[in-house]
Amino acid sequence: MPNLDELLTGDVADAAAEAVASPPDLDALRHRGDRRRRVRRTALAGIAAAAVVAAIGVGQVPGADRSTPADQRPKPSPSQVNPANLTPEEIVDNPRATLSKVAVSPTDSDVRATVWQLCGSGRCARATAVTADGFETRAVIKGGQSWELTPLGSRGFLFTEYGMGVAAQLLAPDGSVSLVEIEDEPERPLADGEVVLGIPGEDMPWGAWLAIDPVTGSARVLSFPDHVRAFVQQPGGRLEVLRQDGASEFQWSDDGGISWRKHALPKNSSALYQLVPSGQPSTMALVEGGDGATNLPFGAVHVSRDGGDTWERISQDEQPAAYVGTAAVLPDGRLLAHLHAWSDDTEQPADRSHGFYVGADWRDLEPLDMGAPFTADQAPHGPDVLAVHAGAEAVTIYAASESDDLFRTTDNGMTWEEVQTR
Amino acid sequence: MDRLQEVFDASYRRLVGQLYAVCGNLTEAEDVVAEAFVRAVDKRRSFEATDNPEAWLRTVAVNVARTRFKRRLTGERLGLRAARSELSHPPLPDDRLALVAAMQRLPAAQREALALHYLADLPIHEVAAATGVAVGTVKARLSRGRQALATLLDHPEPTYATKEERHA
Repeated sequence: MPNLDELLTGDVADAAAEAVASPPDLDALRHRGDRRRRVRRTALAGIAAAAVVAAIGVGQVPGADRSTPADQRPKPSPSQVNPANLTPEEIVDNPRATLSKVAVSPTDSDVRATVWQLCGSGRCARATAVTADGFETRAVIKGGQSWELTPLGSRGFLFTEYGMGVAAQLLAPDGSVSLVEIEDEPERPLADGEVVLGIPGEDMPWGAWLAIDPVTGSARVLSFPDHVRAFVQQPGGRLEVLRQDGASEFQWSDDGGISWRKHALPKNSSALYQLVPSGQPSTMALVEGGDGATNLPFGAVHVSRDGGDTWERISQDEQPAAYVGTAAVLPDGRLLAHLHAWSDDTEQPADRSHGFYVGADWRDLEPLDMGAPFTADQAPHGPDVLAVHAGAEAVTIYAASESDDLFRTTDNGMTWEEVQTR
Repeated sequence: MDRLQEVFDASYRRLVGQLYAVCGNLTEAEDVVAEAFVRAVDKRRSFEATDNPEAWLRTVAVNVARTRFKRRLTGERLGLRAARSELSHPPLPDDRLALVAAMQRLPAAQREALALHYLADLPIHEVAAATGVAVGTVKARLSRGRQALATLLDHPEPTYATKEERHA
């Protein structure tokens, strides 16, 4: 046998590289990455209660590295189709297009926007469909992948684009896009009905804040705490932010931003926090997670049931660990959590369900029966949650099926009704 | 053609080759490199900002391989059935296959350093970047890894030189 120097050569790597039979489909890898990106952006950027876009890539475990299950594999893209040559209408209507984002107005569920992606010939193209009548009629425009769509009542959807400075655009239901006019007004607190929009910053998720009037459509600059990592505008008007400036701190305002109260979070540099939309005004909550690569390990939940006077940290650190996507406080005060993966999913088949869990004491969460089309048999990896709206009467959840059909539930997943998307 | 497609076309096979000895399994090497491309899409801002996308992907792939190895090890210690990619190897002489098999018995840090430096032809500083440690640490791992590997293969260990020093 040759000595080590003769063995330790590049021949091994060269032979392995040459032995690759056929590289995987890059479009399929893009699809998996896009799904995960939706998960992460929801989990880490917070959930705007007015228009929560909470996307969870089902069955993706951090560092799990398993291949996408067969039933989740993206539809193959014919190599001869070049999406760059298609019109936005053709992209939206293409049966191979995948539903990338959904935004629904919390005040009128017929006001919707859906972002579609179509890949082929090594390229991907996106188009956005928008409607004010539940897609009885619609308008379609090019783009949409990078937009975080925030509903503005029946006027349409607000979005910002990185590099535009302190500016916002409005996508109207007729498909027109216009720049939102920013009024030079004296500073004043957020008024009832005004929608808060974060403007992307250079180093932080947000560098400025706008308050936008849903009636006039005009905006004004809003004073907000600095170093905000996540924020929520709760249905009752409460503003909640997660600040990270060295230590992490939860702050909230019940007077439109005039005054802010604080709750210090544990000093744990690896902890990540996710704000929780609440359907019960006296209850505030946030999920504490760890570094789970692209997903959020469910480490604990912090809850105050008395408007912030007292807080409790409830550990969720049992093994195997759960990975949490969306969480919400139900109107009756229980915690609803979407547990979409488990830490041992990759090493052995897990018999725990992937879906919605609820806990009256917030400590022992029990799985909820999921109705069609998301029963355990139909969707073993659970629903692909795309939007959540916590209201005083119910939490409304929008989720996509494997075939990219959209469904809505208002009873925590027991029954679902189909919602038109294009 | 977009940047990811260009990098995929240029680097996918090479990365699989480099990760093969780290994983000890060609199928698993393909899985971890594919996963690195998935994460490039997921973390597109970070990926697009890098000057060396192949090095970025290699670092991610090594981390993925390390995580999988740890999970499998933990599962085996707990007596759990470890799910692993189907074992496959490129057409290599028996002594090379024995080398790759012996490397799987080394500590992960030593295996990564040996595989990336000697088998994947990466200079020391790139191994350091891919594994997230200092150059001196890489050298120490190479030295200890060679000693351990020589014992495993029942070889005498005549030199502790790095590849760069051998070539100098």
